[in-house]
Amino acid sequence: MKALEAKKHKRSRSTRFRNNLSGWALILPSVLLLFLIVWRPVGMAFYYSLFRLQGMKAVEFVGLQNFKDVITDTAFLQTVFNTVKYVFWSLIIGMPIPFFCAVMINEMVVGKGFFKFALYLPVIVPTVATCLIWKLLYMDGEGGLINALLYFVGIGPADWLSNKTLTIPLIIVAATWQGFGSTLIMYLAALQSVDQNLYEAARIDGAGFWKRFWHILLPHMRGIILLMAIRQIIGVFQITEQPLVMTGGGPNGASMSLGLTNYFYAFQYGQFDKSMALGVVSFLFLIGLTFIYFKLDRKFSE
Amino acid sequence: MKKRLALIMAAVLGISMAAGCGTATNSGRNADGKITLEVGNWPDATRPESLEKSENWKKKFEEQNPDIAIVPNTYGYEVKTFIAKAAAGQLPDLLQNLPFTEVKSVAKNGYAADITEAAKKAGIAEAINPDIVAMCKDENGKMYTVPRSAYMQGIMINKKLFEKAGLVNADGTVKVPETFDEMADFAVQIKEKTGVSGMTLPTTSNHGGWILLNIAWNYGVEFEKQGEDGKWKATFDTPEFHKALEWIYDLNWNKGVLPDNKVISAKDMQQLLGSDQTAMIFGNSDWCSSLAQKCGMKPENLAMSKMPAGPGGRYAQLGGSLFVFSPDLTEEQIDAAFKWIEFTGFGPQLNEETYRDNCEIYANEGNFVFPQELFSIWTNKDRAEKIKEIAAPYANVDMKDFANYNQEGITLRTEPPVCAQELYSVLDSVVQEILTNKNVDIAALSKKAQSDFQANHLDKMK
Repeated sequence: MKALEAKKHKRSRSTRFRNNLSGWALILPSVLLLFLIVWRPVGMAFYYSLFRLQGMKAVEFVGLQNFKDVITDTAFLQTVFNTVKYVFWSLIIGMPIPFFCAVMINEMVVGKGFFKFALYLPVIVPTVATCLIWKLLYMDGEGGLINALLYFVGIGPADWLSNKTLTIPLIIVAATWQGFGSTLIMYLAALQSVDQNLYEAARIDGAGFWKRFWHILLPHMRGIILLMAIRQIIGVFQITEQPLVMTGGGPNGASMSLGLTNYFYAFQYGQFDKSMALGVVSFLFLIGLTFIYFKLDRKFSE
Repeated sequence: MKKRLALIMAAVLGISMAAGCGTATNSGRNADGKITLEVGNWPDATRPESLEKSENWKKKFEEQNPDIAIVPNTYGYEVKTFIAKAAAGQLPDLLQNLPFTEVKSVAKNGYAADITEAAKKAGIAEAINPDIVAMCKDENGKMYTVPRSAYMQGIMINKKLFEKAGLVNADGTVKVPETFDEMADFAVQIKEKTGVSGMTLPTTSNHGGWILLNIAWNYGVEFEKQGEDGKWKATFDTPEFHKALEWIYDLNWNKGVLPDNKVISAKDMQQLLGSDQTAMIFGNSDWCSSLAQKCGMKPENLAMSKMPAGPGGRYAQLGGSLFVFSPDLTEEQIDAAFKWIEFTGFGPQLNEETYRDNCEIYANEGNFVFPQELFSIWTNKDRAEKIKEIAAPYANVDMKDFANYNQEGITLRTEPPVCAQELYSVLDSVVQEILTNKNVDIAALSKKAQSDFQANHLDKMK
């Protein structure tokens, strides 16, 4: 009886597969691409992180030795702490700006299109170019643009990127300037779906901007704000190019991130095995966050 | 219908991907049966004169060697891309400008062809300074690279700023510092009289550590030693090293002669020197081309001097660049590569014609043309004489400005044998801390750097 049922079940599964064949065939190209440029490298990183590599050839199985080497590095804890600091500042600086800009643009009657376009513009500038621009702005001494301005209004030049406590927040400001356009578009889209009747009703009842913001907008947007926060954490956790271009991880490791350490292992020391191991460590952490992201996404979609 | 279309699309994609994964084996010959040689560092369209010269050389070379076809490739050595290119088997057959430091790892990782036999046939060992030949070999005495040029670390001086500050000798040449204290004094005078930073030290991209190593040698510092058990020990946390660090601290916090910007790579430093924003940097003759081409420095505006003497002696690093051969070359391709090296003027026999071409184009491009070789790798004295003869009409620098950039009274050293790049990155952080923290505890910083280098790198060597 049981066997018969199982057979029936199997048959229905295979017919289901056959019925969906064109669907499967259509997603095959993207699955293949994903396999080639995402899954396969991830799998290979896991595999190679267990070996001693010579160049990029695996020569000896060493188990978890690479992980041990990476984690016992005397700079590892500071680097993790720095990475958390990047995330923290990105939430403080990078979260409110796009949200408030989106709300402002949404309230605008004229110039909406222009501001949408203007604020999105930095997103299409290459990251390295953005970093170089901000590096010039932040440059210490009278040559730096911010310092030149300070000098102009009569305040002496200050230290920017070479100030250990400022360097991470400053890098985050630059990264936010570049990236917040895309988050802004997401918020704008979500704002479109706010029930206009509610809004109108509130307005007729005499609710001012802040009341409307607090009682209608914010509850409606809570879901997407949380999702954006998780996305931001995942993104900033991997920050690499910005410190690479702007500070090289300095001064004395003060802006070193996990991503940059990973990059240095691979491309400065040629220690690809350690680079893979550190990549796997970051990957596991990010998979955890992504899991939370999906859980929340499902919850808020319902 | 739709279903079939989708299937066909999927199949096509699958096949094309599978095709992309295939690898070709190297026969070393093209469809016409000629031996192919892909030559790297080929000039691109941004240097039209050099490109034209190279095209002419290619034509002439192929006329002289009808069985060889030269294939231009503009890839030039870069730390960041080299390993990836090598691992993917995409290096040009012949690449120049590999630094001396990379010889052992390139050999160990199988990124270069063993050319011991071919080099013997070409007579490299007899023609080149034996110290330099030794640097081209791996632990087993096998040769994987051929030297192209060598340099000695020293001081590069912006003459315009020195003249402005009045640091000039009776014969019109600029004064050069003989000791580290004198160098600091000069920097102070330049800052006072011109307002420009007297000197610049790099702090990032491992350049900071590399220069610090060169400075510290002169204070008597040894960076690493191999014990009897074969294990390497970091040995630089010494009073001598503290003295060297104090010299740097003093330059910045007491004398104020370094630039305010503290995020500086070797490239930035060259830019500052070339644009008259700093008067002295530590550097070497290999940088002259990039000073002229990328930093707009006029050849007549540069003077050079050897490393100053420190309390521990007078040392400078010997470095240089090499030719490296792709590991999958056939024997006839390696022979062709040697022929090309010889033809372009870097073989034991000087090719007067190509050497003259080079001088002419360098002069036209505003690049440095020296009336003689600053640092010759060749043992052959006639060759040096011939070079003087050929270069004379094109020379655009006065050797008087380089009179002190010689090897008298100085000991040449090579870079630390193990974990050199890792050491530099640790020392980068040391320089950064000294230049950004006024209250730095030098003894503690030095101690931590040594224990970091030991624990993170020397103890984890594989």
